[in-house]
Amino acid sequence: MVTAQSQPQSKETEQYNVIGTRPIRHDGVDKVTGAAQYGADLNLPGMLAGRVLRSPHAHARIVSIDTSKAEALDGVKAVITNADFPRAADAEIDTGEGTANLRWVLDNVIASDKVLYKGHAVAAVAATDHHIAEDALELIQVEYEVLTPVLDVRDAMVDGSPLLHDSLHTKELDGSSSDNASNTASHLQFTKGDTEEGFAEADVVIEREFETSMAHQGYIEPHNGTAYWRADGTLDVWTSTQGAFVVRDSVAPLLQLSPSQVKVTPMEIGGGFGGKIPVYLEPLAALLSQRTGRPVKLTMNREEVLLATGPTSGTYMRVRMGAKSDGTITAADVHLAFEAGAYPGSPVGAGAMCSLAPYDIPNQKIDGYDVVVNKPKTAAYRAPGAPQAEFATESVLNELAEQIGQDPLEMRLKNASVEGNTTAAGMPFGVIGNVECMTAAQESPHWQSELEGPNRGRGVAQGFWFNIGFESSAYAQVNGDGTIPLVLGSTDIGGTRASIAMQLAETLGISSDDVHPHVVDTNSVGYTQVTGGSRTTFAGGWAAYECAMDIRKQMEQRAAQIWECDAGDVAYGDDAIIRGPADEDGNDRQFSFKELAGQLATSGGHIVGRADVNKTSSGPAFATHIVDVEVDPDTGKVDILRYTAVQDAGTAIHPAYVEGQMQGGVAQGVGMALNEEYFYDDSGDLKNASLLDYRMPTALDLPMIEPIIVEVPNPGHPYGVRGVGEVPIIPPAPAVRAAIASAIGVHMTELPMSPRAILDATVLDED
Amino acid sequence: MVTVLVPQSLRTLTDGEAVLTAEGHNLRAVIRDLAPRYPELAERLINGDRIGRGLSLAINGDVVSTGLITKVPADAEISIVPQISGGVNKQNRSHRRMKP
Repeated sequence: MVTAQSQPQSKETEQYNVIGTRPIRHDGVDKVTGAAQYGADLNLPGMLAGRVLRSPHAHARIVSIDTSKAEALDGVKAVITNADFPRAADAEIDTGEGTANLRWVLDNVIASDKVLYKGHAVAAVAATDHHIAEDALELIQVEYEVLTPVLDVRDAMVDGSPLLHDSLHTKELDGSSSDNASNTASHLQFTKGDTEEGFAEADVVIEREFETSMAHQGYIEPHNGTAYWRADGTLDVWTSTQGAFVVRDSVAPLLQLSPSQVKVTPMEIGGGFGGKIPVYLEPLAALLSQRTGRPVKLTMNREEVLLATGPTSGTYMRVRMGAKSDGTITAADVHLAFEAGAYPGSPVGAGAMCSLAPYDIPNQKIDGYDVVVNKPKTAAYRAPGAPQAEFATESVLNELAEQIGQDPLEMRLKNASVEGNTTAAGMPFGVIGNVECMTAAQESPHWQSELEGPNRGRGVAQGFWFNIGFESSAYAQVNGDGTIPLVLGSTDIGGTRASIAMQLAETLGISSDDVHPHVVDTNSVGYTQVTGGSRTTFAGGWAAYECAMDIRKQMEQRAAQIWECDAGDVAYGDDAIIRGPADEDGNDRQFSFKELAGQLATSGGHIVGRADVNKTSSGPAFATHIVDVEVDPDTGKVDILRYTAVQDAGTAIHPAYVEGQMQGGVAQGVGMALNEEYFYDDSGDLKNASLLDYRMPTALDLPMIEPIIVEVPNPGHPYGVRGVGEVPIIPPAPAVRAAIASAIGVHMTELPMSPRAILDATVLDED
Repeated sequence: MVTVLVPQSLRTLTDGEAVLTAEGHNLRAVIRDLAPRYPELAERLINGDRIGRGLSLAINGDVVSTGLITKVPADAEISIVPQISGGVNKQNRSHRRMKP
């Protein structure tokens, strides 16, 4: 592997040998040559092709399913429906970034008595080839009793609205439930201080309503799942997933297997962004394999991905915020209603807790509602819930600054959360880089520059995301030549093989070129949580650090054995030299790492380091973004002229990958801001289920996004790491909204701010 | 002595009290210490050998990942938070847009 280090380390990482450098990723060659194996590339002897029959209705009762004609078709080996699965327990399972009820997980995988969104799986077929399986789907006869769908979060909350689930009642956080069934699955509330007193102190109060559309994660690689149920009762699953262990722990109980009977191999992944945590195809492939005794592969096409896999929530939000004329924010009242899709579990809780977190506001009230609608079940999407909630709060804050006549960054600095402040949820902040991001943005060439020209405007916004830690494992064997295969359980989405390997190399004092990371199956590494929550470089890196410390200790012990001295007299230095006491002749004794590695086999055997960690000090992330736009008043099209993203990475292990995360987050945030939305007709039919009509930004839509990495080390990590993957998706929408307002004087209230929405708003404004 | 911060939504279980104090070396012990005074809250916070459904506990701002056996430092602040998941016409704006 060639090490690329064309850029110097940051001042904060100069103390390190490996951290802060930019080595080429270990998996790079395979990916650019096409050798990397994705789920759809998998071919096994005797493998069957599976296809899924999906509901044409958004809301209907299944009266009957007749599979007999499909089963009779030549080449068809099995047809399954929900009735073929064991009855799912009414139990919660870990779904990576939360929990879910097993019955609802199964019902979403394949519908039981009702279909709840267009594209909901109803039956699945395994056949000798894909075309026969497709033909068989047409022979399955399903009789539906079509019901009225409910497609909007506010419609769903109204008494008398069609109910998706007769047994669903509104749960409060205290455990109480509503008497009547409802589409509102839960309500939560956080308060701090007295909001009415706070509003009474304000000189300016602004209240706004916002609506945001469902938006998809938009990963390039569609979902896939292959399963082989062996004769001995064990099950192999190969899939594109962000969490192999979550797949194992979802599939096993759905099929009443022990986790030890299920081995999940994560294939390379073509993007996930949270959407590749739930199971969709894997349980179907498994049951079809059990029925046929052969491996079965299912893949989705793009239409199926958009119809039936988790987008992020559409929302209705209302924010009231008040401030004194000097810019001090005195109170905020936030109302968030989030669409969960067909089953409970929107990210409204996370949205609520993030919504005001960047600011120390003495009086706050935040209400959140999780609401089911006849759309696909939402899944996590990069900082789940926060882009919507912070779009609303940041937008109102920008308007307050405008009305007061204060610089929006100055106003943010005046109210910024700092160490010791507590959020409305009662969470105190430790060492954070909130102010540092704002200050770096103020000092940036972008903010210091002038923006001229008609219909052009500049906007700014802040973002906050928790980041999480949790379980990760790392195992590493020292080979005789001093190289180290590093075994990991984390799917590598954003360069985490490299960022974790670098932390192992740093700790051992060796080159990252000598560490060879491998992502392995669930039987070959300790439990590892999902690649999500911006946790992988943080927790995986921590595991690598402890794994390296384990190796260091064992190397000291081995050197002591060879030198016949006490291990306590041997020290492994950060320069990878193992030093012992002088020999009988007074000569210094030392081994380089590679010298000692070469003697391991003949001095007692090889050394394996291992670590399984479960960490909580995740280090929250903050970001400040600046954007310049130009609005075409005739078409409503918004062009991004310039974009600067400032973010606290704690310590940027691999700065190029941190910058990549920041740029990728901005691209997705701009997509949410300007283009991406689901178009449903009255019947709940998704009309833009293709990437031609579901408009994601391309390279042609964006300028070079200028990243500025701030490094305020996280004291809760050996190398100061904070997660970086999620927070950059949060500020783009409110920053773009502010820039549009600055350009044309219109404050948009919905996402996306598409050309049509802007024309609607400007025409209405003129009227 | 540790402090337990009760969010608004759970104050129905504490007679409206927002800040509680308790003793205990780990989360289970803290909740047991609260139980005689706030039995409904204690019941809500524990589900068998796990933290109550849909809830997470944070110690000094960090959401715990090791359940009820998580050690609690002296003088810690424990927050109770919902579990984080990682998910128009004013009737339905998409309807309006799809009509010619």
